[in-house]
Amino acid sequence: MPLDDTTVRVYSIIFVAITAVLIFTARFFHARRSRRSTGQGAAGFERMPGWIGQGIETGRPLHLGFGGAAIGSEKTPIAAAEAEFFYHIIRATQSSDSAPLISTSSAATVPLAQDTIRRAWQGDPQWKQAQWYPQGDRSIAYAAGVSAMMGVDEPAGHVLAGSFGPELALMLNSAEQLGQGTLAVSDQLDGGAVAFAMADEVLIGEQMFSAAAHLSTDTTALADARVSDVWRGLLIIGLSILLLINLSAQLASVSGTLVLAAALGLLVVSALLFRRS
Amino acid sequence: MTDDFSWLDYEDEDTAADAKRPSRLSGLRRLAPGFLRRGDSSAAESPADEASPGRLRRMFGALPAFIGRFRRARSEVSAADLALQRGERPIEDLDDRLQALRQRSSAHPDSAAESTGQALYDVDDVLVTPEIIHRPGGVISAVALSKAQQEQVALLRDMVGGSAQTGEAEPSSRRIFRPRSGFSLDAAPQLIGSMLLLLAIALPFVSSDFREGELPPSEFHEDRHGVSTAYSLLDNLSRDDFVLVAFEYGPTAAGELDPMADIILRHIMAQGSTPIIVSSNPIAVSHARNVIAKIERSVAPAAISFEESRDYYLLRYLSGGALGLRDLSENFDSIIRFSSTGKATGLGLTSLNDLTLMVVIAERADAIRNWAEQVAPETETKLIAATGYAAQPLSQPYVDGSDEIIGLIVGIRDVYTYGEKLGAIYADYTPDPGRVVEQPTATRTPTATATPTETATETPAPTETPTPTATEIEPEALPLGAGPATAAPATVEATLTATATAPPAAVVPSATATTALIEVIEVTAGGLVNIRREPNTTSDILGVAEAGDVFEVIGGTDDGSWINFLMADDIAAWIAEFLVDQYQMPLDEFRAVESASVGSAQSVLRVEFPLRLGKNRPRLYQVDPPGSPERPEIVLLRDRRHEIAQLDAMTLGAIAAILIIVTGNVFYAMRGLLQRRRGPDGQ
Amino acid sequence: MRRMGIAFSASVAFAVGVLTLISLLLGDHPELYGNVAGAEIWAGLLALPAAVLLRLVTLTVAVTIVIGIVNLLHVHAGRGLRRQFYSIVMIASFAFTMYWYLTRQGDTSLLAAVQVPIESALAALLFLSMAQGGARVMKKRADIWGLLFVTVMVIVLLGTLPLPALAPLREWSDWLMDIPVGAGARAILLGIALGTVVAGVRILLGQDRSYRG
Repeated sequence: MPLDDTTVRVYSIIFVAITAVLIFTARFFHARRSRRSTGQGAAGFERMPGWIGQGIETGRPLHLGFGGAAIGSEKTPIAAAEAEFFYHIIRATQSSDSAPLISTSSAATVPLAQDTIRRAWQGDPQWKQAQWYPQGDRSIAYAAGVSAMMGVDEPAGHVLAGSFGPELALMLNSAEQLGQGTLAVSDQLDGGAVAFAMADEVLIGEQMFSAAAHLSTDTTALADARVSDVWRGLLIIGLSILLLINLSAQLASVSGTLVLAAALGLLVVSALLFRRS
Repeated sequence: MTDDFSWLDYEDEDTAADAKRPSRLSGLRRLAPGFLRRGDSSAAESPADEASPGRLRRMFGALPAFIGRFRRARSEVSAADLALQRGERPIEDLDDRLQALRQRSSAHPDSAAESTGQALYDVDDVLVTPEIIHRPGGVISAVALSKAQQEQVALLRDMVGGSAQTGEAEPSSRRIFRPRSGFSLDAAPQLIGSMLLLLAIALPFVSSDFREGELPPSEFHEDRHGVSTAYSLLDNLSRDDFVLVAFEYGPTAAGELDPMADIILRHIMAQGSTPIIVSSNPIAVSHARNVIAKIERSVAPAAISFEESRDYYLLRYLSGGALGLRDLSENFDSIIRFSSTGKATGLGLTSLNDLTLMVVIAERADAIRNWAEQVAPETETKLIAATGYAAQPLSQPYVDGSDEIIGLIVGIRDVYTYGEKLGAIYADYTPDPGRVVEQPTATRTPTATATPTETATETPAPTETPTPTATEIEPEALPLGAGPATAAPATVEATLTATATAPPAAVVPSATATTALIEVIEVTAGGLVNIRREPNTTSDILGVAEAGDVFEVIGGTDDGSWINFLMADDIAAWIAEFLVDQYQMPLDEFRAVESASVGSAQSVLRVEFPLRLGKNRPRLYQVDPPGSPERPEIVLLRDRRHEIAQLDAMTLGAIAAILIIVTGNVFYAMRGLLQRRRGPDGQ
Repeated sequence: MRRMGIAFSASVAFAVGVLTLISLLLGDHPELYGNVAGAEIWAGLLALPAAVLLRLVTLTVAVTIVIGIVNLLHVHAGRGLRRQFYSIVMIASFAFTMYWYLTRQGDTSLLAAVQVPIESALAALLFLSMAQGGARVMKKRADIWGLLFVTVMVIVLLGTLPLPALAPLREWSDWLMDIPVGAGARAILLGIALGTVVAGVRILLGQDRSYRG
């Protein structure tokens, strides 16, 4: 049953308000808790320490790519989330002589990239560490520029987190040829598929927003990730209930008790999975 | 901030920002200048950092030869390199962090002191092997203990006699950076695969023998994503309709989507409708201009030409992605006022509802989603989506789940079907011979041959007239602001286009013209040019003329830069000399031509005051276009030579790709299984 | 002083963010106000801030292209000085294109003659890269997920071929794309959407790191 525009707007307001309350609440509780280890051994991050270590010891930079995640567009939150992710990675590379390189295909994101380096890197970063290659969401020119940079600057590894389409294949192929490690995640499904097939490490979907929480014990990042988890859990439960209602309507001959038992079982499994995640 | 990064702790964010250290060389750099890369030459050239083998020997005594064997490639991490290149420097000169590291290392009593005495009797004074410290925390603690580094630590321990106690330092299969050079056997499968793919794609263009698969049907499938309905909507446009065409693709997708844009634009314009092109991609706006120019070049032999802001409109790029589209839906009336070149369009539409149809040609599903979410809900005008194969699976849900989007035209197979349908519609069409245009030389030369009594006159050479770009009246700016030059006889074509209702034969010189000659001017500049009250660019504009218009000359300025002539309603007016050609013409022929010319201000123009823009005078816009092209040639002259070869290349390319993918994965799966059976030691 | 600056910038961000959100959600929709007197006027007024601010954003984003160009030239000028061939070519091409455009305003023939062929060629290279990447999936992920990925990829690719012998596979391919792949895609997109909302609210509340000075 489609909702009318007014109802959607009201629900949107309620949703945003609850999210804001959840964020504050989660931060409050996480701040009270002692620090806890988060990211060690997490899938997708196993090889990154190796690249960072290699970069530190050989004086080679790490390359971080935003792709088409652009400030000032609908992808602003993605750009902000990846900037947070990159911030923690850069903090981790401080012992290196080479400041990391950040690339973007959105000119509006260049200031964000420079700001991220400025905050995270305690050395003396040069503005050229943030590099723009034109232009747009599916920019082959960007992919070509980054591929060329791989040969020139010889980064120890590449963290490509942002908005990438199939052009990601060019960059990952170049990195493979040069023996450089890659971690990739994209908000675009085709970019995500390419990342899964070709990157050394891959994050999928909403992991791009929780990546920062994996790399630090920063309570704010943890809290944000937790709120996202809560919403996801609620969504799964809600969809499961709807599915069961639909099934029970279609299978009227099946006893109500059986459907109820299945529903409870599904809820328990969901809760367990959620707890494990 | 509470980040914990073990013994490479960095300072808290706030304090770090306040107390930034100056540019520094890390201890490792000082220890190992050989690792400095070419981009860091300034640091490498520092005398303090240069390694001195002589001093090294003094420091280490006789350096064991086996250490040299541990040297690896430049960019690899090698403990032996560290040892070889270490300079003799007092400990207090070391970086603070290295001093702290050394102290911590020394603080662990279980160092390998006793065992080092056997292999490297004096090295243990300098290199004290630390115990590996396991501490929880973020990624940095793992940096200190990464497997790659653990290998190096193990190596170092071996060298100095310590036992590898890391516990986790298993042999790692992790790659260490090793730039490849030259041809290697590893690259052979890739090379062979690439060659196979290229061959598969190229063969259909070489010979028709390599054709595989069925051609697309000549009718759209009725129930497939509403594509049939979309075609019907496009086919039912009429002369006064405006269609918003969004070019949401860049040069990357031109190969696949240009044919789609081409056929949709042709279909729209062949029915006399007017496309309004818009994009949220800045390059796509320019690319759209090229697509139109290509269409125009193809139909030039049929004497059809298009003029921007009359036959089509090209709006400015919409910045901000989805925000730009939202801006379009909310401020449509103001956005359509200006073209991509910043000139006024003169369009009188006020909202998206004034459009008959919207078509989005997009290379990415996100673009279709943005149009579906930001624009389509704000209007009752229907939206048709067109895209390539890559974006189809993700675009389809938006089309299926949206009431506003009618259909999804996909890839070159649908373009083929589209072309077949249009071809069938115009199959019986035969070009009207009366519309065939004469060459410009034929237009100009008779004045010299049929009038023996007059003095010899200059025979103007045919000029290459730039394709007009805007109707805003800025005569001085027009030659610069014009679009790509067309080699076709555009002067005459423009005349015909402008006077679609007038018999073109009027332009063709009559062989029987024997009456007295009069001095005339013919406008040759592209676009609309100003006709002024006085011979200067600041005087009032009385009207406009366009290429091909002919007027009777009555005088001119002394320097010849302005020409005085009579407009159609006998009003004396002035025009700049460089915009026209001046020659002689028989009077009766002139009368015939004059009636076809559009020199009357009242019939052509209306005055608007859209924006002052610093000029306190009205801008004039064309309100009654002399006639948009409405001809089947626009469709029929489409280049379809490589269409079938493209389809075959796509099929063969996909077959080759499947072969490569299957072969490659079977190979790697088998290799993986074999390696597992052999175990980690390869036995 | 610095902390005051941070507080001020965060406050401005918060105020503008909330205002825009409210304006977008409640503006121009008098039906949301029920029977409040003058609902039309209030709704119209409330729509103004979003309209103005969004217009500002689109203009600002358009201007940032200048930042990109300056950055591009800065990076490649440095490399050019170190005699990096491609950087020198890039700068020379930039200068030539600028000259071309300024002297032949509106002429897009360079785009048609240079950029489109080059980018099309790169897109063709992309096909090769993806085919090679597809062939190496089991090298990177020799597990059940890798196998599943390759199997689905091959079935879907076979389903696209216009060969009569493969007609039955088209049904499989369509089913795969419509049901399992569609469900997975929606699940991933939902996750991204939730993450986007949380990140957006964090920015809206002035909690993003860039507001912290």
